Amino acid sequence: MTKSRVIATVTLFLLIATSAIFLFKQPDSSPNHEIILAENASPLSTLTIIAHEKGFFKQAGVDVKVSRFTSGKLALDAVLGGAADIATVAETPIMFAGIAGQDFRVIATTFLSGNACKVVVRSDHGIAKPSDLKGKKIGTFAGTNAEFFTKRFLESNNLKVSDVTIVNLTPTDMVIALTKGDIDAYMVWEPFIYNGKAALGDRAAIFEAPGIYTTTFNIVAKPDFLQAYPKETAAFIQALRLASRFALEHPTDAMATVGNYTNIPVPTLEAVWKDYTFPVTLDDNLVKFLTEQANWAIETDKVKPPAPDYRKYLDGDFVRSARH
Amino acid sequence: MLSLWVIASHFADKGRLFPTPWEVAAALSDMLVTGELVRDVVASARRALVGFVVGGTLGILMGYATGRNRLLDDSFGSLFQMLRPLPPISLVPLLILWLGINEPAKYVLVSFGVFFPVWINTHQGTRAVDPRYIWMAQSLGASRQKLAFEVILPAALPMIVSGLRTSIGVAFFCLVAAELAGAMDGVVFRMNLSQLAFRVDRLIAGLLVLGSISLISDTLFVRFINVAFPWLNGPGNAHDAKSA
Amino acid sequence: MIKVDSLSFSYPGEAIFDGLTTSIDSGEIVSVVGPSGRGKSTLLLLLAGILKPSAGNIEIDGVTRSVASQEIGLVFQDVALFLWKSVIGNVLFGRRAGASPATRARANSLIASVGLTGHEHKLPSQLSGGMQQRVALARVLANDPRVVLMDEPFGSLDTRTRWAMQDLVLSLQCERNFTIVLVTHDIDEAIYLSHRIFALPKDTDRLEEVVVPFPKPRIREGIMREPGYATLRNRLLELQ
Repeated sequence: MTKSRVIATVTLFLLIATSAIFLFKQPDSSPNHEIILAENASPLSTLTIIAHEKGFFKQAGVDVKVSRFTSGKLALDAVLGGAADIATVAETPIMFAGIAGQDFRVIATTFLSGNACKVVVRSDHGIAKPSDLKGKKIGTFAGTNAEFFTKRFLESNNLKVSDVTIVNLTPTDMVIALTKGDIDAYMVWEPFIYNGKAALGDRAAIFEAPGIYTTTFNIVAKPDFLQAYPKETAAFIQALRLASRFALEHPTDAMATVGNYTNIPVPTLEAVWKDYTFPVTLDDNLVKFLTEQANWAIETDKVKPPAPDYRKYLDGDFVRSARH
Repeated sequence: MLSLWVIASHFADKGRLFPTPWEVAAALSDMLVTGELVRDVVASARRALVGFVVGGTLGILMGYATGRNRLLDDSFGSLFQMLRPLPPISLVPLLILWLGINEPAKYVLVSFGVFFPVWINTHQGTRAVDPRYIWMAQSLGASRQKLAFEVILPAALPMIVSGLRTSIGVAFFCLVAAELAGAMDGVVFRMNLSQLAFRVDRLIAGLLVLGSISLISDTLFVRFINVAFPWLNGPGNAHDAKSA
Repeated sequence: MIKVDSLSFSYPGEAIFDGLTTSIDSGEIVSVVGPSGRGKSTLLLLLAGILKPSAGNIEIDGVTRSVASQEIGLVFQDVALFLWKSVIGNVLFGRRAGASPATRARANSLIASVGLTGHEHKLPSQLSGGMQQRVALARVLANDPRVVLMDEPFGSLDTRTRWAMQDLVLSLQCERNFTIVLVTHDIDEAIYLSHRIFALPKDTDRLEEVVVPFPKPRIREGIMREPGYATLRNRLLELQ
């Protein structure tokens, strides 16, 4: 390589490296900033779905552009990376992000359920009650709240995780694996439980354990965004309140809207809707949930201690100030 | 490159999403000390190796068959061309359905990916064999078997080797799909978990490990070829080894 | 013993031979000369049974050949040896029954007769062009062919090596009395080696047979001084 070539190559690399640094989006200060919402297209995002499908964002005076994601974790990634402003996400990715020292704020919890995760088993594999799961192969989604639920469920039935064989699968693959009989049971969130039972009919049974684990879905944003666009954020939350009332007063319409947007059949949603609540709230319970999961993640060597004080990640201002 | 990494990670304002080289090194040594790294490397290497051997063997056999036989080429050639661009990850649900969630399904997935570069290179190499070699062999009384193993395949070897070499990288690439479902160990599996836990340092460490095993495999493969087929490097080869 | 009867052959859009009839005796050396593209190599491939005539018949020792067989040896110019086999591996290639001690001994003696003792385990890439062609000869002769077809076998060799190879071929042929049909561009080579020369002039599909009048054994420099050499040479050049 000639000397000039070397200089040119190094300069090129430096240019690429420095421009990569400046690719991080700075919030612009133009009026009526359009909020980019990274939304996990699932029933857990019911409030945001209703808000944009039923025009509540417009009504509250905020422009929202929706970016669909297949998981809350990916939506959170988008916000942390600067590609989106607000994300809808369950508490487990929030827990991990906190331990990893990421900077973000949870401004609302918009979904609560003590029965969002369940167990579906092959009853023809000799599983009549939860304790029969001992020694069996159980599918779950490693690294997510499904795995946490699995541990909780087993413990609540006097079993240890080591009493079973855990098989890591994505939710869709779980249904197939159970149908094939390669696993004896799986534990995950809806609608995959419903789908599994529907596929197997009499050969499957569902175990529920309401209350042993609370699933939450939350609204997350970065602190500089909240600082730069407080008005828009407040309007966003206001729209979610309107959506929450709508969901309460018009459940059929709400299910139809969500079903249409997520391509989940309405009968499936009807079967699980009774376990779901759609508040717009933020309280210390979330801190409790996050800390419990953080301890679990540390125990299972997923992360290194210490767990942070999750209170510093909660920003309840917007929930408190939004009018009913 | 290393110094650019250090500079970039210092100035990057992405919180902990851009770890420094020493953070990655620390994650790596941690994985080594707990024994996790060795277990994962062994699992991933095993899946890649089995897939490579099975897919490579089938690729060579089919490549020879379609390269030599018009009818087989017409029947299978277009089918393979259609299947070739399928990303291995798209096969995962189907394979789970047919083969379940255990190791055999993973071996099949990797074999699937490895098969195509080997098949097409063997096919083209076989077709490109100078017919004079074949005429000479026939005039010397070679049976079909002798023709295949002692004339055509050796003559096509530069291209076959090229296809095999390409498929080494493909085998490791297929691990991304293979370790997605039903795995409890493996370098890619560990990377997925690290990603879920925002452990970017472990994610990058995993990437480096994957890249290293791939590189080592490639180097070992080249050494093996040089020892097993010393004539491949001599002057006056029948063709250049161009990959498909 | 090679009989060609009303041979016709054409490539798509181009007739090469039309009703060609000739014969070559056992133990005869015939060279085929002519301009490029005229069909010299095609004729060899037809004789070898690799190409099939569109009309007419080729018989060797009374049998119509339809496929390359061990009775006919082939030597090409630049694609001589199997690069992946050693010298002895190449020479032994034709032997169906593995490498018994008797077969090995025979192979070694063939290698010796082409002057390559000591090089048995070398790869072709380790040999010079001339040495490679010698191995090619030894390989072909390992099967005791009745006919050896050679397509410009010495074309890429330097003059001295070419002369040495020509003498080697002559001495082997004298020993074993096989028929040779040799395609060459080198008129002097054709005259030196052959009993007869077949010329394929351009613009016709005829074959001109020219007898070489000089008795064998021939001395290269000697025949060049013969009266009639120049005339013969010029005649052949005109026929090109």
